[in-house]
Amino acid sequence: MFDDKFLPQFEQIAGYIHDGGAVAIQQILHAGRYGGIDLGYCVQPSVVPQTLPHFRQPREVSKEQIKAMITQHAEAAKRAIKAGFDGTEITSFMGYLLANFNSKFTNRRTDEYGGSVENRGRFMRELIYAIKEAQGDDHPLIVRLNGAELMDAHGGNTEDECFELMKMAGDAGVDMISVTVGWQEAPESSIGRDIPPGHWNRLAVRAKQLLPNIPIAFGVRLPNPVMANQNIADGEFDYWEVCRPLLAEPELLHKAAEDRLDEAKHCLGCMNCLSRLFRDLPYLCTNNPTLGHEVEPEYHITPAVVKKKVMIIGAGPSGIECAIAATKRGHDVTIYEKSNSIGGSLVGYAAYDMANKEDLRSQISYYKTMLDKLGIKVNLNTDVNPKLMRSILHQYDVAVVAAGAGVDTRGLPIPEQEGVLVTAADVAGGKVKVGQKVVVLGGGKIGLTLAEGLSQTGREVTVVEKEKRIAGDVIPTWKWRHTSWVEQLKIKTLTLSKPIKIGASGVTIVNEKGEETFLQADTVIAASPRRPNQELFQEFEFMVDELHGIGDALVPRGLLQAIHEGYRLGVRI
Amino acid sequence: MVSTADEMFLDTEGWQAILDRRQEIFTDMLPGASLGILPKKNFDSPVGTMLTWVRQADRMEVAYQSFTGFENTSVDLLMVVDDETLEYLHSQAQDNAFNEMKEQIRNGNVLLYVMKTLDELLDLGYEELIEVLKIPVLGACR
Repeated sequence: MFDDKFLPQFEQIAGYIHDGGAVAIQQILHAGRYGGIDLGYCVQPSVVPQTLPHFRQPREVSKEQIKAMITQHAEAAKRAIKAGFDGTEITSFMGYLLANFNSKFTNRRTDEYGGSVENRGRFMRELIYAIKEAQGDDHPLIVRLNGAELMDAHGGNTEDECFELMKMAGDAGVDMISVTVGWQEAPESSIGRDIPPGHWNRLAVRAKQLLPNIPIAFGVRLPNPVMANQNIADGEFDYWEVCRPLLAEPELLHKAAEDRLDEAKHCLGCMNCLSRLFRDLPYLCTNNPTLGHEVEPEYHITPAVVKKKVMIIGAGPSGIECAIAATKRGHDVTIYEKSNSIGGSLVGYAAYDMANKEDLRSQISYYKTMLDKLGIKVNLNTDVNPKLMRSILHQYDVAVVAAGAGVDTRGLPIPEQEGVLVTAADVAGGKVKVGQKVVVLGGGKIGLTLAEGLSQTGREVTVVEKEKRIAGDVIPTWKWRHTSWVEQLKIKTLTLSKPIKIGASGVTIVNEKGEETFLQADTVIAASPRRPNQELFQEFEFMVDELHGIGDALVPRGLLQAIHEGYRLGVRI
Repeated sequence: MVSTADEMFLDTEGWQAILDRRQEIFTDMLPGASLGILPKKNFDSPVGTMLTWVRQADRMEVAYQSFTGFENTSVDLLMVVDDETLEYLHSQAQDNAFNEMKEQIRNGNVLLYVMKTLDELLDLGYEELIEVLKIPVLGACR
């Protein structure tokens, strides 16, 4: 918004929003402490170095620059209104420029813009006055403000100070306040799956009580529209804000309005979206393969020119995603599943998940609904093997191997007693009884998830990992959680170690120095390495016209790849 | 015998012992890579003393230099600690001081500032230290 040359594009955006029947608000954001990635430096009220190495080192802004920034914000607001937006929003959360002035963590100035809350809030007040004057009374101005910075350890604002600033914004004439939580640098969770939905609502309630005459908007870790609706009805806040759930399900609001929420995909709170952004990569959503590819025909579901009969082997996320997309295109799809339920390894993973089990289970519920509504045939308890394939030869035009992955136990010592060594899938699927003392072989995401879940039930768990570190295959946003949970639960981890003997009463391991240790165990769980279930590829090569593979059956990875590959194949078969 | 926080801060041998116990953490660091430890009370003073760990050709070594503000410091990482935490870390010389440091960073008793970007730190050989101290490298992921 810094130049008139962008007006045509912003006019288009405002037009799209209005065409959709919504009010268009333009956020005007100076990234402050988190900006200047390409410049090599950032600007903020005082020189306070970064605590995250992604960001650039700061330069202090002069009073002249402050005045110029205020003018630039006001001009941007004027431009937004000119482009057709109904109002504007400025934002003091996550540590952007306005937050840098408001917070005593980053504002250590000794002039009239620093020191007391009154002084620190001066920049905000001047911004509000300037923008209100620039855009006129007919256009609302919203300000996003932290109800909690979560930066106490760094000397950030207390909650009381946050609300003092909120009051100040109200007094300065702002038309709505959006209550938010946290900074990029905050050392604790605020919006991840490990935070229960509704956890932060108390901050909105406090804002509403403090400023009963100003509309309050809120949406932090509140992904469920039904819950949000109830919160509004209860008077906790006035407007629900939603971002990540719309990345996962762009039709969320329409589906909610049409009472079709069972057809809506959920935001899983995995934070893949933001972790990508902070690696200077485009947004991506685990649950929505089309995000960022909306204008690419290759990602669109279009009617198939040739309608085909498709068999999909495996009812895990990759197989079902493929089935849904292919069915929507007009293909006749049948899924074959070896076990007695759909969901694949996601079912077991959800059962042991330390964060919010319901997030992952909602995915399985969604799949059940869609399979039912689209009339996709699912043959459970059906092992697809060459014999079955010969019996149904020529019934299908396409076969898709979505059989997932198993644990490769071939590299492990042969157990001296039957039943001591079990696989992660056996445990996750509830097929085996797990003893009190457990050794998990493999400290990747599967081994850690099982170890954490078992430890939570009071079992004594040790994880043995051959690599230098645990959680090697865990996405960056979730790695610290696993290591933190492992510490909290006092799970013993032995890295650079491998088993050399699996006996009746435990495992003998050897470390990189050649030292042997015996670990007592009632149950030994093999959780890595994973091996793709690829056997069917060669068997079926001359049995069907088209043969494809997707998800873990190609390369064992994770939910995102399963969903994306399943969808991408479904839209091009 | 050192007993006060100030004496502990200046106890070169004690800090060197902590480093020597875990020199493998610094093996991949390039000579000149350095980390500063600054008492909180020196943080706002115009001139203070900063304890530094500087990578020499063969090992990480303790040294001291003056601190005249963030803008002027040449260290790659800066840990700001209060007296109580300093005393505690110093007392861990014979134990796993780095594990304790990780805990203190997580608890907010050690404020860790990064003066270089992640790429620069990795190029300087900080990968192992980042892992040992569990230094968060991403924003907005929580």
